[in-house]
Amino acid sequence: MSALLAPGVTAGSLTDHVSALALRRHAPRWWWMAFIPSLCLLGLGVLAVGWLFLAGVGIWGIDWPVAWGFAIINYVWWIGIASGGTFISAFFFLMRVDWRTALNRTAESMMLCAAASAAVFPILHLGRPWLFYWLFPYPATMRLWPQFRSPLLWDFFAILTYVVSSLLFWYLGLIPDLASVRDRARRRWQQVFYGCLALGFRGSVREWRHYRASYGVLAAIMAPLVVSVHSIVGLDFAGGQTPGWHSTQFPPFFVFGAALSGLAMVVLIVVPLRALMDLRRYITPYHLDVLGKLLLTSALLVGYAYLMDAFSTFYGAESADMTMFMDRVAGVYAPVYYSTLVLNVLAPLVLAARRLRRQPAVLSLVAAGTIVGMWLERYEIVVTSLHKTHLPSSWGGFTATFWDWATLAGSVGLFMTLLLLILRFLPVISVSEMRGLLERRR
Amino acid sequence: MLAVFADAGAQRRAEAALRQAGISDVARHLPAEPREGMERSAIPLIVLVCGLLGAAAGFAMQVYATVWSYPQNIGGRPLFSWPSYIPIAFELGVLAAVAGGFVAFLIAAGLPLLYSPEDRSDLMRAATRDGYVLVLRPGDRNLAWRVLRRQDPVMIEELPEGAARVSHRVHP
Repeated sequence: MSALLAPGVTAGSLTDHVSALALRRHAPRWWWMAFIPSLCLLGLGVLAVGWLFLAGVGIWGIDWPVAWGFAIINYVWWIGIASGGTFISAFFFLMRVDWRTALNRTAESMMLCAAASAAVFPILHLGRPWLFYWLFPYPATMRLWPQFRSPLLWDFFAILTYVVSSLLFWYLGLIPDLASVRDRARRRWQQVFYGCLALGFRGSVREWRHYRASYGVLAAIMAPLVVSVHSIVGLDFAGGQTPGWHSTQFPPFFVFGAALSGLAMVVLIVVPLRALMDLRRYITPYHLDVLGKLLLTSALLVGYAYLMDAFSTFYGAESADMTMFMDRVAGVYAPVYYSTLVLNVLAPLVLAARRLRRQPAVLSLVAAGTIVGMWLERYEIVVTSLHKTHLPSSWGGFTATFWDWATLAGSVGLFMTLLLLILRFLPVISVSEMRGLLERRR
Repeated sequence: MLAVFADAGAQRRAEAALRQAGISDVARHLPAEPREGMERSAIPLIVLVCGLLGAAAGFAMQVYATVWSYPQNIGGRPLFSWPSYIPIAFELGVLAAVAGGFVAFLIAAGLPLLYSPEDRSDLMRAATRDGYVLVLRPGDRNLAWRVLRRQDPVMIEELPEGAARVSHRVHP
């Protein structure tokens, strides 16, 4: 008990604390200090997207042969980060592990915001984003259908399903906690706001019975869904003939990477929140220890995937593949490859030491490194593969423009803004599940 | 009438006592999911059916589009290329299952229900904190009082009929 929860935590004190965080009249200073820069980044992103809509994708660095640039890198990066939230909230719910309870709300909120940031990019990448509805199979007057045999269309359905399901799963888990906040609200607008969101949940046996069943079954669906979504992202690449992409290991490789970056993002959010929102009583060193171990495990899985990537290139002995790989390790983009190895595989190895793993600063540093490392990994996959394809006459380079960076910064702004709004106005810990945990342990 | 208890055991004993005394219109409200005595819910079955129907519909749509509505001969490959229909059929199955599960939860739990007569009592708020609340509509209020007092409640409150908020509350 002492490991999972600080002594003295009761259902009442926990509910009052978390509700008060959502209901407080003024946001604390740290919140504004994070929110204003986030809003500025979001503004920059809106500007970049507005200019993109006016001028077209030519403002980005993409060209032949590197026709997939930042939009795809950012998309894969964000959707991978989102997946980590689902891993924590769905997989570990199904395994009935108690440590998940304090973390799952943060993980789910992070998942939702990251999925929103990811979902923007495929639309922007279309070139003519106002025609995005052509991806829907609707009865068009042109009597055309989307290409159902293409992984790119599978991806559209995967994101659609993932975003809608994440939202519903997150909201369902939130309903009992919204009811707790509603019943502690003093001011009229708060009573109405949380009252409407809580849908009138009163904790009756009937409500709990169906709530439990639907949350459990949704978690059971979310777990394979997240694996399928990231496998399909892998297939976006593996479906192409491009050297370095055309590989059967891509779906699991992408799932490993998703787990790593997502867990890292949970660490990056949870560690400061513990201090800033005074959550140390519920998110204890034990939780950090578990997150550190998970981060280490997924880093080892990613390391295995890198190893197999190299092995299968030479085992397959296709000349274009080997040329591309040699270019990856010794060409102009080689620093990206080595940074990826260091940040995603070697640096997380320090977490094998329990003493280091329990240091919030070390854990955050490693996590921040892997977030950057995973972005670089996608840069390496997208750019290095495309810049030296089968035909030497069409080789070329890629340089990102200001607008590429502005769009990336804008997506970070969107993520941070949404997350900060959720942290400000919604319960940051799944109070009803924690109450269940307390009761079980009584 | 409402009565708050300190733990789930006391609440269950009080409920049983009320039923034994012939008061059957009793509802339990708890701050966390009950650990025992929950009947099975039909929602998993509904989710399964929605998922299967969604997947079947998604598969059928792709077959219709690629075989009948817009057949394309791509290097002589078969029109009915079923393996490539599986990802979208799976995703649409999941979408239907999740949406169906959410809607089924709302219908089964009777939500949204933004007002109910017992909301007039502040005691209801305990049920979303750490109190175990019984809400009863007894025919004989004096009998209910007598039964409840013996069950060691934290608080009992009697709400008048109609919309009035004046109530009679005791701390036994």
